[in-house]
Amino acid sequence: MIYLFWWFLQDLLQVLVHGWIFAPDVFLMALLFALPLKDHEEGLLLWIAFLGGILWDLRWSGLIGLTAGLYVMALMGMKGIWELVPPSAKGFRMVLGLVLCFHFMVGLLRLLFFEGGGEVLFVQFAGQQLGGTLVALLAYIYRREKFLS
Amino acid sequence: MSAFKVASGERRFWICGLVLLAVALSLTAATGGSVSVLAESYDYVGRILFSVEYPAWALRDGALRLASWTIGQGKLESQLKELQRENLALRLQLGLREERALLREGGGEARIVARYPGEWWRFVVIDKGSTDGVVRGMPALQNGRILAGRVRDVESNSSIIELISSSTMLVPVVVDDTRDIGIIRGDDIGGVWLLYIPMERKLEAGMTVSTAMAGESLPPGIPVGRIGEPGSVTEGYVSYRLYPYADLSQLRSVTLIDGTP
Repeated sequence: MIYLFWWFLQDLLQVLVHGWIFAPDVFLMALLFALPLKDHEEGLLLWIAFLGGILWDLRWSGLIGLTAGLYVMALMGMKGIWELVPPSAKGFRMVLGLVLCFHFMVGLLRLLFFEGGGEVLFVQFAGQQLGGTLVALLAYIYRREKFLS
Repeated sequence: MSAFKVASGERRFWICGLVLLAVALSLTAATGGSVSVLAESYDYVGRILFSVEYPAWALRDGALRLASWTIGQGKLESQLKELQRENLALRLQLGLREERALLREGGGEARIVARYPGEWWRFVVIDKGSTDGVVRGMPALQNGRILAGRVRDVESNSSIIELISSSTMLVPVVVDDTRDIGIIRGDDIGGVWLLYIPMERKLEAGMTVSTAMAGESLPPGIPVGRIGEPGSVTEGYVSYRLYPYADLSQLRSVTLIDGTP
């Protein structure tokens, strides 16, 4: 249910900024955070990513299956890399770095698919990454406050 | 036993991921580039999400209006739009074909509700469909005056507009100063070209171009753009770069006019 909230948040952000920048993939970021940090069934997260991606494609991207595939790939990549990280390095900062990294890669791959857009799409991509960084920063501050209180 | 369970869970994750990935890629391959699929999918999903997205649209519109008002251009802009509509209506009345603007409240003005990154210079989705009187082929104008595109696909509550920068959109035009007739076509990356001008005709940069009367639903006399530098020569015909009046990267709404007699 929480992921439905994140999907709608991403959708509403996209309504607000569409035409200027791409909204940051907060839905994907929530799933990427959940994979190592929450005790969810991982297969279920894949299904949520897939369905959320399909819905996003139907509404915004115009290439049905593209976002769904990228989201699933990002989750698989996150899991693969997370398992390679030594236990001593497994911490929130590492998760944060990986989430940002995958958010960047998904945005970049999407940009490569839409090769005809040129400068306009690049500006939109840059805006999306800035937004993603801001979300990660907020997540970091939230986490720190939670630990301090 | 528990190690076996973990290994089996891991395996399930990877298999599930690969299957979903394959399904997603197959969907992309099967539906990619199909305009009718885009139109239908937007229409269904857009209708479902409309009520959820409504506050965000209202906020966006409010912010845009506020920004416009803040810089002191709101009133001037609406006056200009009104004058442009009036001008268009008068020109069309004087023209060779009778045109009828969509006068139902809000019918002529359509908001752009989606613009797919992969089709950035080709299509936009608007929030008006067949229930609002939109029909295929209707011209879409920016600021009620300048040609931006044409209706390509119509669903009940939304439509797809093909922009003049699309390579599949061919529009017959006339050079206003010389009355030379050609075709404009986009290149899918933001450029528009005027084609089929005979080599012996020398067109100069800055000459204006408007739609030609060509026996279709596009009315003549709609301003399109200005001629730029000459491009390639093919079989005795020169192509010229065309700089459209319409600001296609800043397109927020379009006005649809009914061009049928």
